[in-house]
Amino acid sequence: MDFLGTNLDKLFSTNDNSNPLMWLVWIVPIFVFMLYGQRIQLQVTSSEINKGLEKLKSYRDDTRKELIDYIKNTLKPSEDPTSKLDRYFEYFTIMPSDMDPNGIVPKIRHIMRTREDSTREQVKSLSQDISHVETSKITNILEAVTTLQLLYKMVRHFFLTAKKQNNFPLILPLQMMMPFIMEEAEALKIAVSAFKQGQPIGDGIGPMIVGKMMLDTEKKPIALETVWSEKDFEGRKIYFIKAEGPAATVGRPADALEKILADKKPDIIVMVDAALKLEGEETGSIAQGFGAAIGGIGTERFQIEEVATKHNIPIYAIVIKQSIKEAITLMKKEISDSSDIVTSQIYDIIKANTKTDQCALVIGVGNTIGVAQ
Amino acid sequence: MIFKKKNEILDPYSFEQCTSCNKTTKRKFKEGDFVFKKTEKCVSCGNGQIIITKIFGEVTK
Repeated sequence: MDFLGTNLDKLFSTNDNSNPLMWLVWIVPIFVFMLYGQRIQLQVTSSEINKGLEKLKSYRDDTRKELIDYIKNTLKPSEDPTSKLDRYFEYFTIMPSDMDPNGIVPKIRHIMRTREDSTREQVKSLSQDISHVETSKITNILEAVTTLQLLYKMVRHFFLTAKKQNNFPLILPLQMMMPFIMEEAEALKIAVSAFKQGQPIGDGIGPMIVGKMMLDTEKKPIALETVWSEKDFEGRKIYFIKAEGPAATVGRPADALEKILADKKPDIIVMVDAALKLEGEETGSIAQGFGAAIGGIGTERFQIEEVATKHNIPIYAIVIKQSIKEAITLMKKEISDSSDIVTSQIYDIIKANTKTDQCALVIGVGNTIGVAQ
Repeated sequence: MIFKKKNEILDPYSFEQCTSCNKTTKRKFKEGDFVFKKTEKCVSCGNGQIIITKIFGEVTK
């Protein structure tokens, strides 16, 4: 046999039985990999996941310690809050049964609001002198620690189950998901520092843009942690809605919209929000579209879509692209620099889609930490 | 490793602007700063109000 000038007979010494060592070198590994290949792969993958798990554990422990120290230093509570906080970290939410999905959205909203309200009240109970802004900051940090705790426990569960049962296929999806889980975990860890210092985060770009448009207008509360105002623009009326800053809150824009629609009839709605960029897209790039630009579990979006459909109001959206990490950590310059362009695009949309004497409603969606109005 | 992840560290800055003469300054973020916070009177024009218009992070070089 002679392929491309290589003599395979010579290479493997098949015509000669005098080299048993070479024979073993080729045959033994083949049998080893045939019989134990999956286990070897399981060991290699396990050690990679174990490293990630250790990192997740350190993130959870670091953020937990940071939160406890922050509460002790800023609120100076009369009793040690550690045991109380450890109980909060274990909180879970049971989603409503979806066997009959009809009417499930109000049920989800009810459960989520119960959780939000209860967490807020428990944070308030840590100290009598706690301010509204401080409560919102601690609530957000608490959410970050709880999420890290949940991520750690889920990864550990799948990892230990796969190891216990020597089940290689079970560990494969975990190996594929680990980079995404670690990215989110790292973002949550860094986010704690921004929340502690009250710095704006990438997600706050929507409230920042609308907050600037609201400057020099009279701001009035309309829903929980949500304000609105109005101003005239080239013969038109513009209403603005945003979460009340500089607290760390997203407010309740859907409730605010419903209340405004009860006695005013905007002809268009423009929503401004941060959106997750696709890999390769630039941070801070802007895109326009249609529909309710609002994230979260989906109940706010459902409510806004329902109200807008009922009143036949078109919804326009402007989004500012960023990664998950950029959305929950200190706002990058590229994101904040997009604000002037977005503002002029909002006015362009209003001019193009309304006539004089008509009115528009602009909603800035996102967490307004570090952004007033 | 072929794909080495870069670890970016962001330094926070506050960007201030005078409402009257539009003079802008960039300084390090101080605790208590927030966007649209009125800080002090403008020393350049004497009658304008300085407000923080942006707070952002820049990558440390």
